[in-house]
Order: sequence, then C-alpha cells, then structure tokens
Amino acid sequence: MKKIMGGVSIVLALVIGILPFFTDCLSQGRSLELANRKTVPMKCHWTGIAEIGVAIPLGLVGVSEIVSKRKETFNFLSVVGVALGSLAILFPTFLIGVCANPDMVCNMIMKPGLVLSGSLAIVASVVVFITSRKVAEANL
Amino acid sequence: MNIFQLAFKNISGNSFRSGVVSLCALLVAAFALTTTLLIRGAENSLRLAIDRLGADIVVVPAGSEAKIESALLMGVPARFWMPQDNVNKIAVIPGIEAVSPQLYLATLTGADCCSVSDMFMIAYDPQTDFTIQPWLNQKLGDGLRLGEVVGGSYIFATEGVQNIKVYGYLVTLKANLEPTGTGLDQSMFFTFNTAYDIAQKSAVQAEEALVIPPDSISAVLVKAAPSSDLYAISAQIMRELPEVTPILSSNMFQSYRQQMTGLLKTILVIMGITLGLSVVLIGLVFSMAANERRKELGVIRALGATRQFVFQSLLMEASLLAFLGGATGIGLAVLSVYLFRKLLIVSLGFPFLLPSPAVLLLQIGVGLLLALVSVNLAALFPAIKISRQDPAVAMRE
Amino acid sequence: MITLEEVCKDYLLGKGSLVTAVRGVSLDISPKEFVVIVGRSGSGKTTLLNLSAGLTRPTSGNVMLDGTNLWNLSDKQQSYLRSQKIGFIFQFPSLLPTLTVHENVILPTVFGTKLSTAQASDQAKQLLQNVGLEEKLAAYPRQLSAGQQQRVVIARALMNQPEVILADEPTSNLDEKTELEIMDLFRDLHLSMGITIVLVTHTRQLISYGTRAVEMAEGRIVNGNK
Repeated sequence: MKKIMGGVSIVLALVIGILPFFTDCLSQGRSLELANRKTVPMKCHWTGIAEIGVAIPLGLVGVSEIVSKRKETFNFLSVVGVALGSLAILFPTFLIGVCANPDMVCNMIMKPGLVLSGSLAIVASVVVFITSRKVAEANL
Repeated sequence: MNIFQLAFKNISGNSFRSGVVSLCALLVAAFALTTTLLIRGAENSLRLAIDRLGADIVVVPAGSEAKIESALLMGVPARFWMPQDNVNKIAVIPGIEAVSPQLYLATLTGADCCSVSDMFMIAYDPQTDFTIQPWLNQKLGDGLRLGEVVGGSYIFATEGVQNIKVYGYLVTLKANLEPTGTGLDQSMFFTFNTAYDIAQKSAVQAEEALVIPPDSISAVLVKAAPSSDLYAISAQIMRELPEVTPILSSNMFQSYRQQMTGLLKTILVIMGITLGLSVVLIGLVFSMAANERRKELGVIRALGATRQFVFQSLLMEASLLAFLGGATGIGLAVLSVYLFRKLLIVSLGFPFLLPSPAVLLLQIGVGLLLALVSVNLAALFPAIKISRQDPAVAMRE
Repeated sequence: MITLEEVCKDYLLGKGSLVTAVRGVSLDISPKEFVVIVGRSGSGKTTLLNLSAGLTRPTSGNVMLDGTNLWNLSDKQQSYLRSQKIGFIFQFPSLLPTLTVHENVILPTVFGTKLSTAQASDQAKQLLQNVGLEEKLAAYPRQLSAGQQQRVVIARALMNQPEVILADEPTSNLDEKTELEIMDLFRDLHLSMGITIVLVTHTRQLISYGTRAVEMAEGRIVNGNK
C-alpha cells in the first residue's frame, strides 16, 4: 500500500508541476499590459511557478515512499507530504491566487485541478502514515 | 474481538482483492452521485433562474425565444427589440396584474472601454419592476440610483474598489445576487436611466457607441393575477400582438429540459451497465476469495462458528469494502463536481448549481446505499455457498 | 465422552465415484484418556476425527458427545457445543494469517465464552506463557516457525477450557526434535490438566505417549480397544 501511495504521490507531483503550464492564462496567450505598455504574465502564471516548488519535493517524497522501509522514515515522509499537499492548495487559493474572472481557464481548470491534486496528496500521505504502523509490527 | 473487527482484519489482510472490490464500489458510487448531482444541479439551477425572473409570462419579439433562453441560462448576450408601446397594449389584457419592460444589452468584445467582454446586461424600469426591486428594497433598503448596478454572483469590481467600466462609463457595484448557476450569475442589472445615460455618453467615451433604438424595449415581463388562466392570457397577447411570442415561465428552457431528459436516459443506461459489470466482477473476486479461504473458513467452523456467522462475516467484509470504496468515491465525486463546476457548465452547455446540504446528504446516502447493495448482492452467492459447505470437506486439499 | 456407533462415511468424488472413508466403526473414548489412533494415509483416521467433532455428517451411524447425538442438534447448538467442549488441532497451518498470535488464541471466544474481554485476554496470555510464547503476542503467524505456530494452535485449542482435544497429525509438518517437544507438551497437558486427548498420526513411535492405541486400516479399526 505504501508503494502504491508513493506512486500516486509521484503522479500527483507531475500533475501539480505540469498542469499550470497548459492551463494558465499565459498558455492561452493572455497577459497583463502595464501603463508603460510592457506585458507581464498574470498571477496565475506565478502560481504555476510556485507549484514547481511543491511538485519537485512531492515527487521525491513519492520515490522515497517506494524505496523506504523504516517506520520513522514513513512518519517523516507523511508529514512532508501533508505539508506539500497543503501548499499545493494554498498557492492558487490564498497565497498567490489566480485570475478573478470565473470564465478564465486558470479558474476553470488550473485552480480546481491543483486543489484536487493537493487534497489527494494529503490523503495519500495520511494513508502512508496509517499503514506504516504495520511496519513496526513486522519488525518484531 | 467481534465479527466487525474480524472482518476488518480480513479485508486488510489482502490488499489486492480488497482494492479491486473497493474500486468497483468507488466507481459505482462516484458515477451514481456525479450523474444525480449534475441532473439535480441543472434542475435546481433552472428553477432558480425562473424564480429570479419573477414573471409568469415573458413576452419577446417572435423568433427570439432561443436567444432569451441562451441569455438567461448561459449568459450569452442577446439583443432584440420591439416597440415600447407593446407594454401598454399588454397591460390592458384581462387577468394581468402587472407588466414591466426590460432592455437587454451587452458590453463590447475585447474593447478597452469595457472592463468585461461580452457581458449580458439587463436594464429594468424601477417604476414598474417586480423582480429586482423587491430584492433591492430588502437588501439595500433602497433602489438603484443613476450609475449604480447590481451584479450576479460572479460579477466583481474591476476598476478600483467598487467600479466597473462599461462603454467608458464607470458604474458602481452596489451588491451581488445569490448564485443561480446560470448565466444570470454573470449578468448586471441597472435602471433604464443608467442605460440611457451610458448610451448617451458612449458616443464620446467608448470605442463603439451603445445603441438603444428610440422607443424600444427587449422584453415585457408579465405577472398574472392569482388563479388566472395563463394560456388564455398568452393567446390573447398573440391575438393583440402577432409579432411577439409570449413564453410561459413554466415552459421556459424546454429545449434544455428535453436535452437533460435525453442525457438522463443515456446516463441511466450506462449506469445500469456499470452496475451490472461491477456486480459480476465483485462476484468473481468474492468467489475466488471464498475458494482461497475455504480452509480458513473450515477452521473457524471447527472452532465453533455457525454457518450463519460465516455467512454474516463474509457479508460484513463485503459491506466494509463497499462502504470504504463508496465513501471514497462519493468524496471524490463531490469534490470534483464542486471544484470543476464551472468547467462542467461550459462543457455540458447547461446550467448547474450544487443542491442544498439536505438534498446533497440524501444523494450521498443513495450513492452509498447503491454501493452497499451492489457489493452485497455480488457477495451473496459465494457467501451462501461457502457457509453451507461441510467443514471437513472445506479443509480437505 | 465421545461415542461412535457403527459410523460410516462415504465421499462423492468428482466424476461420480464413491469412496468409503470409514466403514462401520464403533469407538468409545472415556474421559481423561489419551488415545493415539495410528494408520497409513487413507486409512480413514482423519475422517474418524472429523466425525467425532461433528465436522462432517456420517452417512450412517451415530456420533454422541457426552450422551448427546450431535446430528440431532441444530447447527447453532452443535457449533456451541463444539466451541465449549472440543479443542481442535489441525494437520495444516491453521492460524488465521491476518490476526496476531494473541488474537488467534482469543478467536474461539468469539463463538461462545463465559469470559469477559479482559479475562479472555489474560487467559490467552497465560496459555501462551504455558507454551513458551509469551514474547510473541503481537507477532503474525508468518513470523513464526512451524513448531511455534503449532504451539499457538495448542494454546488456541485450550482457550475455552475444552473437555477433549482432537489433534489431527499435529506433528506431520515438523522436524523430529520439534515433534518430540510438541508431543511432550501433549503429555504434560494430559497429566497436569487431566484433559482427554485423541491424537491421530501415521507415526507408530508416538503410540507410547498415549494411554491407549487404536489402529486403523481401510476405514476400519483393526487393532485396539473399542
């Protein structure tokens, strides 16, 4: 079960890292024009950049869950997984956010996709934590 | 230790088998809940949109029925006109209690002078209005002044704290209406005076002027007297004004309703197939499991378990797996539908609003029940067979 | 204690062929006896043991436990009687793999006991201590050796304080040294607790552990007291 959850974490990490680049406004050719006529990406783009900082460690957590055997390691990985999943949810909702217009692709697909992936990452880490208790018993 | 604990230990002992059964239960519950959520959500939305209209009959120019439905349901701006005088002609028809005209407008597409593109705007006459005005009186204690607007639930200020720019004109967003899950959530409401003011100033301020043909309106909302015959009133309207179409609010969105009925039938067929396949697969898995555990079950019979205990124990395992898988599926379904509701509306082309918590709980209960029933049904035959087997025969190689 | 009166048992195998495992056997087992039933494979000794415990219905004849005909009882009554009066030890590894050692020993109390949960837990610990496995309470069967597993099975069989232990080739999967340890355990149980033991084996050398020997061949008792 822990190996399966590790695999799930890796898949979720890929989704969290890659999804924003296909669903932010910049990918649809939309950006902000400043007063000096310079164009800059909208904040959904920066959320996507921040999510890379979540995706990479989450992927490593997943790999570690597949190869580890010690209960203490799983406990640590679970806590890190929950924290990373929470960040994946917080970046597009509170910390940075996405565009306000509900019709924009970042609102329709990117944000819900990241929230769902973050939630599943949290659940996967909790499952690893619960099932790692059996590791201790096996080491009797 | 009791039968529940024993069943729980048994299902955690074989992750693969338990995973397969749970996955089937997850799919059944998730599919059932998602489809019922979508159908009920669409019905909920349509009902709210009709309630929001507040009118018994909506009179529009002939041939505009589809446009007004798209505008109200999906927020696709509609523009059509008829003579303002129609209001007076309709008002005198017997059985009518109140009439109020409305203007349907839209912002420009991709223009700098409009901070929101392609937004459907509805102007109303505050002297005669019986839809927005009562709500405004309750919420704001007052009507809207010149330059003030009320938005659907998705409307937000883009220019500073409270302002939105339309045709170069800054309007002040005073309040937001409750969500309906329809295009009305992305619409703006203001008075006729504001509409004419915007039109007049747009000639100078906007990239393209807002044109409201003189002495024209888009629709007339009709409130009938209690227990009057709406069909008779509609027929009378058509006789007096052959160039208009009266639409009963109860008949509104008929094409969408038919679309939904068709979709529902298709979904029910798919659900039936999914359920059937799940029951067969789970039955196979349980048969295999019962066969593999034949000796183990013979042992517990030898230790003093009755046939009934063995039977109940197997069904308890089935129920636990169904509950775990079903609850997970339901959680995923609710979360996904809630998070992706906007995408669903755009992809499916009909409105959606999450039902009330009470209705949602009922639907969740039905989804769980379906998962429980299907898994237990599948496990029934193997459980009966193994529980009736002679323990000595069961323990033989 | 256990009385078998002219019992026969036929099995229907695949392709419709009939096999008679036990032919007209009568056997009386008295309290506090240690009966060793020997015979070659296929002699019907396991079937005889299963008949004695009510685990299979005889084709003909009667099976009496303390004067009660087992097959005049309902399944519920028979199962309860079995849980209270009989402890069964199997030839094959019979611990439930998903339960710990402690949970496996407590298992018989699920089907009928006069003990509270706490009393049952304490008794299980005591029994495991008696068989020398008090340190393995939280272990799973897969973590134990074959000999250790059989000790746990013995502890489980004693959980409901039965009047008789029926042991079906309990040492057949064990090495010689462990076999002797297990047999010594049976002897100690018989002598210290006065428990009736019926042990089935194909090893003639184990006859010396019992108070009486019965020999079976081709479904019949060919030697030994009835």
